[in-house]
Amino acid sequence: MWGPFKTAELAFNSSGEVPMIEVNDLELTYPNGHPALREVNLKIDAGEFAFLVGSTGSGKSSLLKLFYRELTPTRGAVTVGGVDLSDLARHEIPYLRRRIGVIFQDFRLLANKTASENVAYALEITGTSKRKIPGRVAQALELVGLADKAKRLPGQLSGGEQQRVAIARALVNEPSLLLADEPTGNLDPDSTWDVMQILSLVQNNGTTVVVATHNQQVVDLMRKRVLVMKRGHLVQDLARGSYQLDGSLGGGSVEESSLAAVGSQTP
Amino acid sequence: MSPGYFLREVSTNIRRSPLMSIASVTTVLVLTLILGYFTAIMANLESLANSLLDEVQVVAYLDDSANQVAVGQQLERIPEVSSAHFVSKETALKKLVERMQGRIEVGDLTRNPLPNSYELDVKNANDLETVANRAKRIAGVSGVKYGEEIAQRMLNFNAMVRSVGAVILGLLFLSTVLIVSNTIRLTVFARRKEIEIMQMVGAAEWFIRWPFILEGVLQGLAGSIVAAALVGTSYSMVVPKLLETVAFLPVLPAAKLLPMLIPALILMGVFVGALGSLVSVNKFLKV
Repeated sequence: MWGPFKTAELAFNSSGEVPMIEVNDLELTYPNGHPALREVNLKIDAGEFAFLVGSTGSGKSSLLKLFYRELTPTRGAVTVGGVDLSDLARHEIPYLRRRIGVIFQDFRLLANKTASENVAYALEITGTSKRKIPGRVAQALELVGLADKAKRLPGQLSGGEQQRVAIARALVNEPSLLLADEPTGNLDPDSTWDVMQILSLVQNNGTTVVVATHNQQVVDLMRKRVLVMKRGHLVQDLARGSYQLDGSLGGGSVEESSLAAVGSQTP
Repeated sequence: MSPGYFLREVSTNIRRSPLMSIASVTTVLVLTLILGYFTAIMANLESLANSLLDEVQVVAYLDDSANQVAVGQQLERIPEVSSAHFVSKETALKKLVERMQGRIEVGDLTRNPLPNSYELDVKNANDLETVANRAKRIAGVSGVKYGEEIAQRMLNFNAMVRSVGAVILGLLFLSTVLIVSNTIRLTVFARRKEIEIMQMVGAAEWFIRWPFILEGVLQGLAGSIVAAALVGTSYSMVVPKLLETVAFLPVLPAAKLLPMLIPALILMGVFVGALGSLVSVNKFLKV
């Protein structure tokens, strides 16, 4: 009943023997009948870095939410770390999430807790021993370059700093998978590059990283795998791709003009 | 991981958002205060009714020829009778003369018209009629009197006090639970984002619930302790003053009422705080 005392271990496999994420014949319909995802098939291997691009409403966020079991598919299967998420009982969901770090556009830090307390929280919930917590928190904050601001509350930090705290929190449990939903959407160009560098570093350390983003420059410069979503379909999968919205380059669509607006914000 | 963790968590939460805590504590305080005073008043009304009923006796009049001792023994054998007290016709006359305060003189009478009698104390006021009927059937008893009307009226009054009191107390309790849990829901609602975040980073549901429940318990405890202290001190101050003015008013002494009332109020505060928190957190714990 105390939660963390019960250690129901998940048969989570991050060794690379199985794909980190596998999506088969996925279909997601919202309760209002609106289709969100259709016929999505996808495989992301352990250690990969993938961008998820597409215009607003194309299904990027919904797909990410399916990976950490915030949503359940209407049809088809989502497997993360070899665990079929549709088999997951309600009380097992927390254990899945401890293997997955998630960061968001709006940071989602606990406003009442300092930077280090926010990071420590992710350890406290797993029942990590009290002696080990300060060291691991310091290490995570060091990694994101915020060791000197550990005692600040989120309100006393800039957007970029808050996002780095969120990354430290996502990483402190050494997740096998890091999901990022528009992580740089609220950030200035400098902070954007800070964040992307950290995410690169994370991938180099062996963590699988999936980033949903609108930021063309970031995608074009990093030359990682690019998954293009359009109206709930996965329309393109490019090994070392650049940012595109519908697979056809230079088609003057509505999405293209919104892309131009996003692109012009970054130098 | 220990209960100490949850306590620390709660104290930081209260320290960093004191206004919300103050709102919950004040709500519990005011409602417990109302409930406390109401209970005190109801308890006194009932004790008043009971003490008046305790005075009611059944009087069994004897034939002049009856064997006093034998009749007395039979009367005492009635199961609902707690004691039987013999009043001789001489004593009865003396009492009557006293009561009439000189308007009659013993010398005016050629003989004593009053019968010997037994005054019967009844274990339970509800059994007055039963006792009267049984006494009537005993040989040597010429008549029975027990102030049927007064007794019945008081019994009715007592029953009314009880049922009306129970209904009002129930409604008060219900509204207390509703209002407190609503206030707490507001404070939890202000933190629904926090609950979402906790779930996102993989906190188990009970791990999320405990700090909230503990916080509700502490808030309920704080509010009800203050309320109980206020009820307690004001009651202990008012009762002696009342007795000074009206000496024989059957007020429940503080020493008798408060040892029951104070723990009940505090327990209720804790219960309401915990319940309010649990209900509210569950509302925002969605999977």
